[in-house]
Amino acid sequence: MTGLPCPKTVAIIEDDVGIRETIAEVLKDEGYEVMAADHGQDALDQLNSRSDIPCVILLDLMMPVMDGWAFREAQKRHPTLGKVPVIVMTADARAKDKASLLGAQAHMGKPVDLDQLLLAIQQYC
Amino acid sequence: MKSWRSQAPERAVDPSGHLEDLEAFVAALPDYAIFLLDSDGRIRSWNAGAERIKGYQASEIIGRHLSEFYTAEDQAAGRPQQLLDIAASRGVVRDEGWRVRKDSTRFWAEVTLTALRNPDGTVRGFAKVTRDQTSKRLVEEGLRQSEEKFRLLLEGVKDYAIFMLDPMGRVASWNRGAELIKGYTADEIVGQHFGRFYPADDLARGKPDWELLQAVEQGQYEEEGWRLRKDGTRFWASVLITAVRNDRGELRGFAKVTRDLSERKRAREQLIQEQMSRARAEAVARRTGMLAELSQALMRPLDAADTLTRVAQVMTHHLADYCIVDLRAADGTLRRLATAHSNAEKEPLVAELRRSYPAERQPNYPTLVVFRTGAANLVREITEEMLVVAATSEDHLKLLRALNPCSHMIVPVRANDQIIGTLSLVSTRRDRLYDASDMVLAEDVAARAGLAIANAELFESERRARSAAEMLARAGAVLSASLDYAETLQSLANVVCPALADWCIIAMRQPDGRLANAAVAHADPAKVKWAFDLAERYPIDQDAPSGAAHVATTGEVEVYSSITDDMLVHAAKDEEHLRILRELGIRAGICVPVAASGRVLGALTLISAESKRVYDDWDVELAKELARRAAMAADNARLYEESRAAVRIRDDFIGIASHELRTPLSALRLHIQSMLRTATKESADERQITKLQSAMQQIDRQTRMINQLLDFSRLVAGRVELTLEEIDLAVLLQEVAQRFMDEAHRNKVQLVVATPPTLMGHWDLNVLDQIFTNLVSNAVKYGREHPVEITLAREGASAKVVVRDHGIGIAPADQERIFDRFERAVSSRNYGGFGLGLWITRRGVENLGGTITVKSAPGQGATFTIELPIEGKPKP
Repeated sequence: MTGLPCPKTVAIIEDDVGIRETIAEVLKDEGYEVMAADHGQDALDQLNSRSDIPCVILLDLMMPVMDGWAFREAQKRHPTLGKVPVIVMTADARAKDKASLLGAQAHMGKPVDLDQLLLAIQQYC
Repeated sequence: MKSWRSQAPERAVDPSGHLEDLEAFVAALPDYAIFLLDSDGRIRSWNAGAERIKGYQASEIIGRHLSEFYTAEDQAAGRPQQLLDIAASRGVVRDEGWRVRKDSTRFWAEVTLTALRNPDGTVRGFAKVTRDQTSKRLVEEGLRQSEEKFRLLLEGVKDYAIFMLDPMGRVASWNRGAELIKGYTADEIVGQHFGRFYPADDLARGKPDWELLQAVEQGQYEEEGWRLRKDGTRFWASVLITAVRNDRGELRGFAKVTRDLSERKRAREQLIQEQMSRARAEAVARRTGMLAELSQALMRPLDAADTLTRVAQVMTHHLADYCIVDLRAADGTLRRLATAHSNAEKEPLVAELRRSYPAERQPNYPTLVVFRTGAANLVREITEEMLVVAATSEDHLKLLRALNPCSHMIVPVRANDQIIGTLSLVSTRRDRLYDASDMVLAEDVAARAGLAIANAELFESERRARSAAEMLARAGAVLSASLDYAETLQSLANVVCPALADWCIIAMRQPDGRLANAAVAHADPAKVKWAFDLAERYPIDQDAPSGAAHVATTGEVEVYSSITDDMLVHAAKDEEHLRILRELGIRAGICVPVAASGRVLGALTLISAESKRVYDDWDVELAKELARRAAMAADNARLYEESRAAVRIRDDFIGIASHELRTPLSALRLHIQSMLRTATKESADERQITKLQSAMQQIDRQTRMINQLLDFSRLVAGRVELTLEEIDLAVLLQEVAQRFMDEAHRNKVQLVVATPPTLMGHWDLNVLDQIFTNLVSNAVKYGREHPVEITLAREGASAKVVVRDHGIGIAPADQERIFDRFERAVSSRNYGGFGLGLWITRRGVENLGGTITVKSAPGQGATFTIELPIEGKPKP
C-alpha cells in the first residue's frame, strides 16, 4: 500500500486472537509484513520455516504452551533470531521492569496504544 | 455382941426383953457398923458390922477415938470433931467420905452420927452408923467422872455446836462449839427458840418445828442445810436432832448437834466443780477432737454415700462402738448404706445384720420411724427383752446378742430440708449409755454431715454446670475457630475428653449414605490412632439394632447406663474384636443424634471406660448440647463451603469477565485508533475525527471501569500479593500524571505536579499505580476546569502525597462514606463508574501500611492526603 519495495516483517506473538488479528491488520495497513503466532512455540515453528527474519517481535508474556519468558530464552539461544529486537506487551504496571529483565528493547502497556506501538516499531524497522 | 453389951455402961431396964433383942440384932448386923461414942468421941461399943467394915476387933478399938477412922487430911482439918460438934448441936449429922480401915485401906463411908442426950439435954454420947458404900461410891464416882468428862468434852468441843432443846424447842444448854459456830454466848441464847438459827424462808415454811416433829416421830432427824449465824451470815450446816426421852418414854427435849460444813461444802463443791470441769473439758476435748476429725472427713466435697460412710467411721472411733448408715435410695425408700465397727472382728456381724435383716423389711424398725418422722430416737438402755422383741428370728436374735447393743441413738440426716438418711450409733458398753448430751452431739454431727452433703451436692451441681458451661463455651469457640468441617468435629470431640468421657466419637453420614467416624477423641493420642485403625477393621455396622448407626437412623437418644460383658459379646464381630472391646474396659455410654434442621446427620457417642464414670440425665442433656454444636459445625461447614464456592464462582466470573471484556475493547481501541489515524492522514471530515476521538474516550473509560472491577475482584478475593521493590515515587507520579494529560486537557483542567527530583521507597508498583491513577482520575474528572495540584514531600519516615482539586467538593456527611464500596459522593448519572475507585485506593494504601484522608467542602474542591511509610510496611 505504501509502495515500499521490501515490506518489513513484524512478528506478533499473542494468544488472544482479537488483539493479535487487530494489530496484524493495523500493521498491514501501515505497510508491514506480519507474522502472527498463537504462542512462543508457534512463533518458533513459523520463524524456523521462514526464510526472512522479522525486524521486530511483539511479544505477549502470558500465553499457553510457551509463554513469553520461555520464548525469550529460546530466541536468545537461536542462531539467527537472537538479535531480533523484542517489544514486550503486558498489562502489568511493571512492564518496563519486566522488559528489562527479559532483555527486551522496549515495552508496551496494555491496552496497546496504536500510536505508541507504531512509534516503537518504527525504531527497529 | 458381947462387946456391944459389955461396952454399954448404962443399961436400961428392959422388962420385956425387946431391948435385948435389939441389941442382939444390932450386934449381928453385918452391913452396918453401929457403935456408940462417948461424949468425947471415944468408942464405947462395937458390932459385927463395924468389925467387918473397919477391920478392928472390939478389944482393939474400944476406948480409942473416933478420929482413928479418918484420913490424915480429915484429921488435920479437924473433921471428926466438926462432925461431933454438928451432931451435938443439931442432933444428927450425915456425912460421906473416905475412911481408913485398920489395914490402912480406904473405904467410902456413909455415916450417920446421932447425939445421945441425957434427960437434961446434955450430950451423953453419940451413936454412929457407918455403911461401907465404897462400891456404890466408886460407881457414882465413875459416873460422875464420866459425866464430867462428857460435860468437859461437850463444852470443849469447838467444831460441833452441841446443845439441848427443851420439848418446846428452846435452847437449854450451849457449848463452846455452839458459841463459835453460831456466834451466841450461852447467856444470849439459852431460853430462846432454836428457830432463830434458820433462814427466813425456812421459818416461813415452819421448818424448825417440822424438824422437831420428825425427830419426835423418827427418833432423830438429820439434814444438811443453810443456817444463820448471829451476825446474819449463812453457813452450811449438818444437823442432827435427837429426841431425848426419859425412862418412861416421856419427851424431855432434844439434843441437837450442828456442824458447820460450809468449808467442807465449799471444798466438796469445788471438788465437784473441778470434777465437772474436768469432765466437761474432757468431753469438750473429745467432742472437739471428734468434730475436728469429722471436719477433716467432711472437708472434701463428696456425695452423700461417701460422706456418711466417713462419718460412720469417725463416729465409731469416738461416740459409738458400731455405726449404721441408712440412705434414701432413688425410689425414696431407705437403704442400708454402710456399717462400721470399732472392733474390726465384729465388722462382719454388722455387715451381716445389714445384709440379712434390712430395716426396710420391718416397718416399725426404729431407723425407719426416724426416717419417716424426722424425730431422733434415743434408747438409753437396751435390755435383753428389747432384743427379743426386735429380733425377727432366732438367728437374728443370736446376731443381735453377739453385737450386744447396750444403748443406741438414731438421728436423721437432713440435706436441703429433706431427710436423706439416718445415722445409728450404738454403744456396746453398759458403762457408756447414751444420754441427752450424746444425742445433742449426734444430732450436731448429723447436721454437719447433712450440710456437707448439701454443700457437696451444690458444689457438684455447680461444678458440673461450670464444667458444662466451659465445655460448651470451648465447643462454641471450636465452632468459630475453624470453618473446616472435619477439623471442627475433631476439636469438638477433643473438648469432651476427658472431662465428660474417656472416648468421644462423632460419626457422620457420608455422601454414600453410610455412617463413618468423622472424629474420635481420647486423652491419649496413641489410642485415637488405634481407634481409627480399629474402625477401619471393624467399620460401623449400618444395620445394628443399637449404637451410632441406629441412633443416626432413628434420631433417638440411647443411654447405656451399664455396659455388661454380655453386651460386648453381642456387639463384637469376632474373637479379636471382643478381646479389644473387653480390654477397653467400657463401662457406660451415651449416644445422641447429630441433627440439624430436622435432618439427622450423624451420631455423637460418649464412652466411659477407665474413668469409670456413670452417666445420668444431666450428662445426656450435655451430650445433646454438644451434638447440637456438632450439627451446627456440619451445617456451618456446609454453608461456608457453599458460600465459598459461590464467592469463588463470582470472583472467577468477575476475573474472567473483566479479562474477556477488556480484550475486545483493546481490539476495538486499536481499530478506532487506526481509523482515526487514517482519517487524520487523509484530512477527512473534522466531525468524523471528533466522533472517533469520542469513541476512543468511551473505550478508555470502559477500560478503566473494567480494570477497577478486576482490581476489586482481586482485593475481595484476597488475591493481592504485594511485591515490594524500590520505586521512585516522584517518577511514578509524573508518569501517572502524564497518562492523564490528554484527558485533563480535554476537561480543561490544568494538572500541576510538584515533586522533589526523587523520592525512593519500597512499595508495590501495581498498588501505587492503582492508588494514584484512581486519585488523579477522580481529580481530573471532578476538577471542573480548575487546576489539579499533585505534590509530593517526605515527612519523616513517610512519603506524603497530596492530590488537590478545586471542583465540586464532597459534603462532610459523605466524606467517610466515599471510601466504602459502591459509594460515591456524586450522582451516578452525572459521573459514571462503579463507585469502587476510592475503596480500591483506600485498600491499596492500607495494604502498604499507609493512610488516606480527605478534606473537603461542597464547592470548595477536595484534598486527598496519602501518607505511605517509605519502608513500605505492608499490613500484616
